[in-house]
Amino acid sequence: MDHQSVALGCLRGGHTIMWIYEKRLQYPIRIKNTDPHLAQLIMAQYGGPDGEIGASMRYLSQRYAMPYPELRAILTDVGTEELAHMEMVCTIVHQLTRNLTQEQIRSGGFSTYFINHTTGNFPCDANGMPFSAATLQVTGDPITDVHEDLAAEQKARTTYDNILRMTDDPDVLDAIRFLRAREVVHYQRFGEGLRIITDSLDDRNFYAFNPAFDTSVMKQTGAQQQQRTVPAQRQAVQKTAPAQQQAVQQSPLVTARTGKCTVEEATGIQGSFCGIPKNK
Amino acid sequence: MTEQEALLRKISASSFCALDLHLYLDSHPGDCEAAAKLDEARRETQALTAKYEAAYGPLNDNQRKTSRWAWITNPWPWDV
Repeated sequence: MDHQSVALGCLRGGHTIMWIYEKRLQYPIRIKNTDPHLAQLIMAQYGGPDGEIGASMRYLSQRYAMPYPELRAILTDVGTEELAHMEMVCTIVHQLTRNLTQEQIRSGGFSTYFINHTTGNFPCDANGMPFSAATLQVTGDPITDVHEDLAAEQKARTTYDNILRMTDDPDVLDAIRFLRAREVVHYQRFGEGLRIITDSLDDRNFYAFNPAFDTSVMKQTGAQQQQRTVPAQRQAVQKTAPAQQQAVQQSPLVTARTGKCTVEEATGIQGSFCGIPKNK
Repeated sequence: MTEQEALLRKISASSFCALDLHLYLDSHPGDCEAAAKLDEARRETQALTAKYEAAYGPLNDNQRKTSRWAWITNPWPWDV
C-alpha cells in the first residue's frame, strides 16, 4: 500500500487516486515450512475478534463522527495500515498451508477448516467462527471510540504475544514480531490522540458527555468555552488542512531542519491544528 | 537473496520509514525535523521504486506506462 498517496489523495499520473494497491507486502514474508495447525491459530488475527479486518473496519468507520483533525488523520492512516497487515496475516496463513501432505490435511486439527475452505483464506477466528462486525464498535463519541481503539491495539498485541508462544519457526516469528510492534506504535498514536481530545475539554470533567454531539453541554462548562469556540479563521484553516500540510512539508522552514515550525509560520495563515472540534 | 528481492527490501525499508513518520506527524503536525525526514524518505522511496519498476515491472497500476501484462504477471506478494 502506498500510504502517503492514500492519506493525501495525492496526484499520481494526472489522476486523484484513493486507496491504491501496491504490489508488495508492507514487510517481507517468506515461509519455507508447512504448518497447517499454526496457520489455523494465526487465522485469529485475520478474521478473529481482535484481528486486522476488524481493526481496519473499526478505524475507517469511526472517522466520520470524529471532529478532531489529528484523530481523523490517525484513524485514516492506521485503518489503512491495518489493510496492509491483513494482507500480511493472509500471506502467513497461505504460505503455511502450501504443499500439504494427506497426513497434514487430516491431522493437527486442520481438517475441520479444510472440509469447508480447502486452502482458501476464509475470514474467521482460530475456531472457524466467521468474522463479525459484532467484534467492534462505532459509538460516535470520540472519547469512547478512542478508548475502544486503545483496547483493541492491546488486545491484538496480546494475541500476537500468544502466537509467538506457539512456534519456533523463525520465518513466522519475524513477521509476527513486526506486526506486534506496530500494535504498540498505534497504541502510542491513539494515546496522543486521546490527550489531544482531553486537552480541548474542561479538565474538571472529561468523561461526562460526548464532545462530538453534546454541544450544549460543552457550552455550559464555562471557563474553557472561549477556547472551544472556533473563530472563522480557524475553521478556514481546518477546511484546507491537507493542502496546508503539503505546504508545510514543502516549506523552506521544514527543510531547514532547525527548531519548530508551525502552520502559521509556513503558510502565513493564523490558526491551529490542535484539538479544536469542528463547528463548535 | 536475489537482486530483485534486495531492491524490494530497500523499498520496504524506506517506505516504512516514510509511513511511520507520516503517522507520527498526524499527532505532531508542527514537528519540522520529522517533516524533513519524511520528505527525504519519500524521495528515496520514489527513486528506488522507479529503479525497481524499470527493471522488474510495476508495483502499482497508476504509473502512466503500466503494461497490462506486467501488472498481471506473477508473483503476487503472497506467493514470493
